[in-house]
Amino acid sequence: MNRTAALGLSLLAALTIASILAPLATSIEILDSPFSMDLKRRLLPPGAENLMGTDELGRDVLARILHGSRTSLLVAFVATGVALAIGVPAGALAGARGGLWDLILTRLMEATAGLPALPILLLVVSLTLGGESGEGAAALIVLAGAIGITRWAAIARYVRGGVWRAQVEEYATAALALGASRSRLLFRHLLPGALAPAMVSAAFGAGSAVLLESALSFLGLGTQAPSPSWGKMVAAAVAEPGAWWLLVAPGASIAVLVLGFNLLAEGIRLRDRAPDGWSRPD
Amino acid sequence: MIGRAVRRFLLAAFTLLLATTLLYLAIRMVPGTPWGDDPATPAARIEEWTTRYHLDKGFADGYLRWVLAILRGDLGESYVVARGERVAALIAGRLPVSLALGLLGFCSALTAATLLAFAAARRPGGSLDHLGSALLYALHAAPTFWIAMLLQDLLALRLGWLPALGSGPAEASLKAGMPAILARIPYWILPPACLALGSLAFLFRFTRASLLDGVRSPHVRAARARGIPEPILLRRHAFSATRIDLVTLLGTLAPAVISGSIIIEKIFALPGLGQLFFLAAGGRDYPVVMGVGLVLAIVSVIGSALADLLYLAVEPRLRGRARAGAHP
Repeated sequence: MNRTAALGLSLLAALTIASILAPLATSIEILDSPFSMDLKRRLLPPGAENLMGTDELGRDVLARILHGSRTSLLVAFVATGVALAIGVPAGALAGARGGLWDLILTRLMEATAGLPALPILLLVVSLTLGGESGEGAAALIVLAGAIGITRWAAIARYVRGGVWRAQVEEYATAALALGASRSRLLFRHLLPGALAPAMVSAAFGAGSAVLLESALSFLGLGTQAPSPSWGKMVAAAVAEPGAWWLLVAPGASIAVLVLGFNLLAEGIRLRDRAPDGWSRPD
Repeated sequence: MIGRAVRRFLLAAFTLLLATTLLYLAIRMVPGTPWGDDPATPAARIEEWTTRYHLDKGFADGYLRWVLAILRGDLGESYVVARGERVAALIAGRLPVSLALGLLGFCSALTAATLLAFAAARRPGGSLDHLGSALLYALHAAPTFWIAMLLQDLLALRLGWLPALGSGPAEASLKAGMPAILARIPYWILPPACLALGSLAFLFRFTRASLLDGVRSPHVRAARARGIPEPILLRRHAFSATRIDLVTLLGTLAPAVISGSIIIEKIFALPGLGQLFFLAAGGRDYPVVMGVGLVLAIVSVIGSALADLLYLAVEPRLRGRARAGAHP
C-alpha cells in the first residue's frame, strides 16, 4: 500500500462511513433530516447551527450532502460492478479465444469507446425513467447499470491485452505442458495477471460513473432517488445566485469522491506498474 | 496503407450502423407515441400522425425507411420540437454554434495543455511541476458543469466582466460587418474556456508524460551530449515524438468534446446541437433525435478513424507492424 492509494482509500472510507452513519445520525437527531423544511430559516449562510448553511427551502445543506453521498456511492459501485461483470469475461474471451471472437468483441469495444456516453445516457434516461418510473432506489440502480454498460469496453481492452500477452509467456507454456486444461490455464494463470490493469481502469471508471450520474442529475435527468443527489443540488443552486454555499458544497463533494477513486486507481497503478488507465473525460 | 485505410473506414461504417440501430431501438422501445402525453392533441390527430410517419409498423420497417431516406439525403421532419420543419434545416441552423464551441474549446485545451506540459517538463519533479500536476489532478476530479457554474457565477454574475448567457446579439450576423463580430467576442470566451477545462487535465498529463519519455530517450541524450541547449532539446527533439502521440489523442477526444458541449450549451444557453438533442430526447422527437445522433456519431467515429490513419501516416514504423497483425 503506497501513500497515493492510502490517501484515496481514506477519502473513500470517510465518505462511505458518512453515508452509513448519516441516517443513524438523523434518527438520533444529531443531524437534521435532509428533507425537513423550515421556511423561516431559508438561505442562511454557513454558521454554528447549520455548518454548511440552509437552502431555499430551509433544509440543512450538511444533512443533504451527507445523505447525498449514498446516491453517488451506490451509482459508483453498481456501475463499476456492471462494467466489470461485462468487461472481464468479454476481454478474457477475446484474449483467450482469439479468431472470430476476438474480431467481433474488439470491434464492439472500439465502437463503444468511440461513442460519447453522455448523449446516449441522456436519451436512455429521458425515455425510460421519465415520470413515475424514475422514482425510488430501483430507478437509480437501473441508471447506474446503464452507466456501467457504457464503461465496459475500457476494462475489456486491458483484460484482453493482458491475457493475450500472458499466453506466450513461459509459465503459460509450462502450465500447458503440465497438463493444465484451457479453463485452468485461463483462470489460474492468464487472468490474474490481467486483472491489475482492469482494476486500475475500474477504479478510474468509478470516478467517471460518479461524474456521469451527477451530470445527468444536473441536466434534470437523474432519478427521483430516496436520498438527495449532489448533481441536482448544484443545478438547484442556479436559482439562488447569492447563496454561494449552495453551489460550492455539492460540487466540492463530487470532486472529493472522484478524487478518492482516482487516487486509489493511481495507487494500484503505481504498485502494479500497470499501464496508465486515465479515463478520457466524458 | 490503403488497405488499412479501407479497413479503418469499414469499422467506422460498422460503428455508425451499430450506433444508429441502437439509437433507433432505444427510442422505439418505449411504448406509446411521441404525442401521447399531450392532452391538447385529439386522438384522431395522433392516429393520423402515427400512420403518416409509419409508427404503426414494426421496428425493422421504421429503421429501414430511415436508412433508405438517409441514403437519399433526407433526414425527415420534426414531430414535436418544431413540428413539420425539416430536420436537416434544424441541424444546419444549430451546427455553427456547436462547431464554434467545439473547435474553440478543443484548440484552447490543446494549446494550454501543451504550454503547461512544456513548463512542467522543463524541470520534472520541480515545484512548478508538482503544483501544476496537483492542481490539474483536482481539476480532473471536479465535474465540468460545476467548474463552469463557478466561473459563470464569479466572472459574469459577481464581477460582470463577461456576459453570463447566450451567443451574442442576434442581429450581429456576419453581414453586419466587423463591429457586429466584435460585439460577439465576449460571449465566446467563457463557454469554450469551460469546455477546454474539461479535457485540460487529461491532455496535460498525457503530453507531460510523453515529453518526459522523449527527454529520456537515447536520441535526446545524444543531442544533449552534442551541447544542444535544453529548451531546444525539449522543443525540437523531445517534442517530435510527443507530436505523434498527440495526434492519436485528437480523435479520441471527439466524444468528450461532444459530451462536454451538451453541458456547456445548457449552462450558457447556447442554441447548439447539444441543446437540440436534449430537447428532442425529452420530447421523443424521433427524427430529430436520429438526425442529431447521426451527426454526433459521425463526428466521433470519423474523428477516431482519421486519428488512427494520421498516426500511421506520421509513424512509418507502425505500418509494417500493422501488416503483420501484431498486438497492441
